[in-house]
Amino acid sequence: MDRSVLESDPQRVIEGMAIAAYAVGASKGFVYVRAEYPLAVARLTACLRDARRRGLLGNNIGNTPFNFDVEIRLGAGAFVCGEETALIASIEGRRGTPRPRPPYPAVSGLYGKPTLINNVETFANIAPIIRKGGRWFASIGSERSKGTKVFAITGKITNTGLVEVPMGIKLREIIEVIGGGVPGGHKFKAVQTGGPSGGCLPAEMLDIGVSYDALVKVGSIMGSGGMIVMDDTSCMVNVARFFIEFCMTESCGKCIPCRAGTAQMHTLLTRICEGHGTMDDLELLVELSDTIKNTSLCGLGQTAPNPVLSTLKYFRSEYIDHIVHKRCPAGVCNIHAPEPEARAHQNAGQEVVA
Amino acid sequence: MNDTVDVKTLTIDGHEVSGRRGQTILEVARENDIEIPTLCHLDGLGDVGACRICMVEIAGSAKLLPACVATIFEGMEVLTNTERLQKYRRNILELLFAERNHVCSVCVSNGHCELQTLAQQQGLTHVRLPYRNPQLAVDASHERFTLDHNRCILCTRCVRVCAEIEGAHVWDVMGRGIDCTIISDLHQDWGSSSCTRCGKCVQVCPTGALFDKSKIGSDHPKYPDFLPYLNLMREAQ
Repeated sequence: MDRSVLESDPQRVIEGMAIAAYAVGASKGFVYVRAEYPLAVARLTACLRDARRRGLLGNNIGNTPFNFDVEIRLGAGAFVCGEETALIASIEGRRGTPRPRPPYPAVSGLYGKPTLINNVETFANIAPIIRKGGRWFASIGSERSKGTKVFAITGKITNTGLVEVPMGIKLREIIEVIGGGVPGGHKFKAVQTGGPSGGCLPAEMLDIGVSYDALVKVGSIMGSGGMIVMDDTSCMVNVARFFIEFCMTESCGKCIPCRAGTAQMHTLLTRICEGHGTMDDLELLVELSDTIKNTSLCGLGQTAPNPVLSTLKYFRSEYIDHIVHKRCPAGVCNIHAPEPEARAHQNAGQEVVA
Repeated sequence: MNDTVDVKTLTIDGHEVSGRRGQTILEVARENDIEIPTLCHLDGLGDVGACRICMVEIAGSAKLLPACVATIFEGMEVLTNTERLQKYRRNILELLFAERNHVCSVCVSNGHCELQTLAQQQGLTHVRLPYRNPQLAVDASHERFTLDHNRCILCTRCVRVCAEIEGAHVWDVMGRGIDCTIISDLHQDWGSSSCTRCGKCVQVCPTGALFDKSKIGSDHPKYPDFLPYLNLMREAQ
């Protein structure tokens, strides 16, 4: 999504940033890119060099008193550094942890100065809007979500890759028409939207129009525009565990609900996956999710329980199968794994032998 | 809502109170003897809003706000002790007790521990979550003090007091998520670090994670009250 824009058309982002800088009176811009995207960094560097040479960046742009230049900052591989205050801390050379807002970056941002901070995709939309007008942009999309959105479709789907679609398009159209449906004669089971902390939506939800508010209403998010399609070979409990594990390892550790809460949810889900869960564990999961969602400091924690809550809502029977019937309907989970305590003893024994 | 007015009136739990512009909900509440529980907050240190214990409800908003950093506005209606908030507070405390090895009966801070006191105040009677029982080290390399990671709740008071008040910045946080730990300098033994031996971090630590070696048994009261006084005297200079 953002990576593809930076790799294929970095000029669009830089142009959007220059226009925005002119609008707010900024003379310095930063692009924060993950170091794991070397091609994006190389193309962006070349683009900046080129723009400076042509006088589109630097001092007195186009013989006006307007000065603007852009600097690239490389991230060191932390998911949470996509959160705006953590990103600012990281650019400043500090530990990439979020801080409470307000004050919002528009009031006190980078080095304590008022800062305009936006996503790459947002800046990439600026130049076409300036050129063709706001009315043109607003004519695309649904009532409350305007314009287009790029999705990265992956998983059990015939055509994987990036697609740009107008907002408001039905999920079914993206998956069945553009994506070409689920291959290999398998049955569609769920689609997860919005990256690791998005919700998993079942087939009954495919007829909703994709917009920010519609997705939140059904328990998911637009997020980064990731879209993972799953078929009947996926176990939804295992999927929830997988995503919670991601959020757990990417939590910065600053606030308690996200740091300790995601770790506890992971423990409980692992128990259920291995056939040692109880119905009380389900209640605990719901209660923890509620606490984490409402008390976490930043968006990572506030959305981390989404995969669990949405699978509990739409695929509850799979949890019951694991807990009560001790079986994994998709045949994914190793349901008869030894209990954690027994495993600890086993390991201890092994150490003594070694 | 006029933001140029310097005095704001608001209600906290139904009491009509007033505060100055820029004051936090916590400051105004405490000036009016309304108790909001806190853990990472300490008078005299910069706030980080990390422990989420002081979360309060604001009428007309679904979002909870941390009272220690959220500033007041005119006409604000704050609720500090609803059933929902009490539940969240107990859950957060429960998460802390299950996270590391908090065994009060063998802790040097038993009876003087802010975590223990808070759990008692909030009515946390038992822990339902599985204890994580992590294997953590104890750093006793310092000649005067000991750091026991088993009892650390990562409130970062030590980090802040060392950086903001002592100006040494010996402490910091290493790692991510559940693996976060407090480290001295570049993750070396406390005893061989650039520690100035002032002991401020020990006094502000809410639990038994940092304690004085020279005291015996569980008689380890802490005296963090020096902080506001110190700040006041520095300002006066």
